[in-house]
Amino acid sequence: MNTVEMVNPPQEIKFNIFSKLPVKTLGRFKCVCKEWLNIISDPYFQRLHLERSKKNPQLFLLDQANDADEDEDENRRPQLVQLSAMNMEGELSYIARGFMIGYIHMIPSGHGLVCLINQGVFYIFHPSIKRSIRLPEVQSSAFQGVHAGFGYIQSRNEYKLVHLFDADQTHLCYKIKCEIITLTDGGNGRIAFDSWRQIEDECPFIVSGRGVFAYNRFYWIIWEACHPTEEVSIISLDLETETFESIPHPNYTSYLEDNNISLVELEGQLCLIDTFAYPPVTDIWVLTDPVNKIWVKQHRIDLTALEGFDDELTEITVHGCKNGELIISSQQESLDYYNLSGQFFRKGKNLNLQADTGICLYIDNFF
Amino acid sequence: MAIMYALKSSDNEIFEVEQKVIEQSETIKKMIEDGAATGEIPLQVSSKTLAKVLEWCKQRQHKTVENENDDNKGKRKKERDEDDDIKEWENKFSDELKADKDVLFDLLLASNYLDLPALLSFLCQLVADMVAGKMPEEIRRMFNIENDFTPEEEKAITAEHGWAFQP
Repeated sequence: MNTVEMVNPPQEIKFNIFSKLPVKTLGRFKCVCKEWLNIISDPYFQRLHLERSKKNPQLFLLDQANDADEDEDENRRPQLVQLSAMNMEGELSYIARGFMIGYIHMIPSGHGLVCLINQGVFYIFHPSIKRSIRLPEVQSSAFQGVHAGFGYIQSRNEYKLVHLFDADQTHLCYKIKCEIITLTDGGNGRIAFDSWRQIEDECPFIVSGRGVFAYNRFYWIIWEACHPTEEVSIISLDLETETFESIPHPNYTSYLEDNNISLVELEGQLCLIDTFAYPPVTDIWVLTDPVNKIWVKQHRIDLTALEGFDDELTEITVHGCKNGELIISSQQESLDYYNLSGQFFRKGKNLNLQADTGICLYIDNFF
Repeated sequence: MAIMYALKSSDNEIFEVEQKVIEQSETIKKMIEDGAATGEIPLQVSSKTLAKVLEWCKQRQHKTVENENDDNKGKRKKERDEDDDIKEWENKFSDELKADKDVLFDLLLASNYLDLPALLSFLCQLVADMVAGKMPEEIRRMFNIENDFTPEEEKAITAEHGWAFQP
């Protein structure tokens, strides 16, 4: 076989090979020749690459010496911060280190971008190309902590970042307003954004933690001190109507026994992860009908089967799903994988995770 | 008695193969179904490459037959052992191809022509692993590709993708 044929295999073979490569390599390959530049820039190819990347989420880890609880301390000094990007097997793409003042909050989008928040400033980080942008200033808030949500709308190829803030500065009562910013693909790794826009509706409750995006809505768990009733513990923001609505949580949750619940989006559906201290099990409820608000319990995981399980474990975090396995962190140095159909755990590679390592999944992607 | 077919390579070598093995190729399966496969089946593939194709197909066929004969008892452990065996076989297969890139690329074309999706995907992954992280100049040398950018164009496109060249 001669060299000319070797250089020019059919287009679909090139598509196939290129679709298996990381975005960073493809950035380099765009500089090889005009033909490769055209193939990699082709929207059809980029969709193919995205579909493959989605099946193969990457890990983005944030290690920092700062403590979230000390964020309000006046005498803060710069502390070491480390960001690392790797695949699920722990093969590193890169590590970036630097010194930062104040705690960094991290919000995954469930797609390519990650939101980082430091001292009230919002940054968008693109792990595939190791680039970040600073967003316009947000409204200041009377309450502590960060109450935001970040999500990707596939049909529009854009991200929405929402920020909840307390507009009442008296500290006597609260008035929770919401502002939204839209991020779009500016081409070649650049991120374009509009300005923060406040919506009319107010959020009736103080929320806890970050918002989770599914069904074109953000969902938050309501802060436990301000539950309206025993049945309601979740609030949603519909991006279509821009209105807030409270949602009953599933029956039989452990919530009132002070156990651990969290929300996560798994394969496009909103799931409530409910971990009981005794018996040590985690229930996974799925909001199968977001309009009529119907929860269905789809899995019960026996935590005693988890390698390294002890009675102290009352908190596990579900980060996502890959090939029918849940990706779980349970305060250990490695991640665990739970096979949903076979109902067994598999231990991942040791990633030297610390108790406070921020973990998020991202999809290797051009935007 | 297994049904045998005779495949003829582009350099006129004849390979006698069981129908079950060669039917993994959608192209040949269709020829057989259409009744077009009488006597020798001529293929636009060299004998060296065809031997490799058949090596792959026989390994895959072997695996399928074993799985059909399994009972459920101890299946998970057995599957794991089998996975290890297949991994080992695939590693050896890959190493041979990596050492002879002409055969690798010829095999890539053949798997596309014969419509063997599993082999095609395996080979594309192999090539992807070989080129991942390489610099444009290394790639041009490796594949004998001409740099058709003008110096100005190259400078601009490289600057635009500066993020991709960071360590």
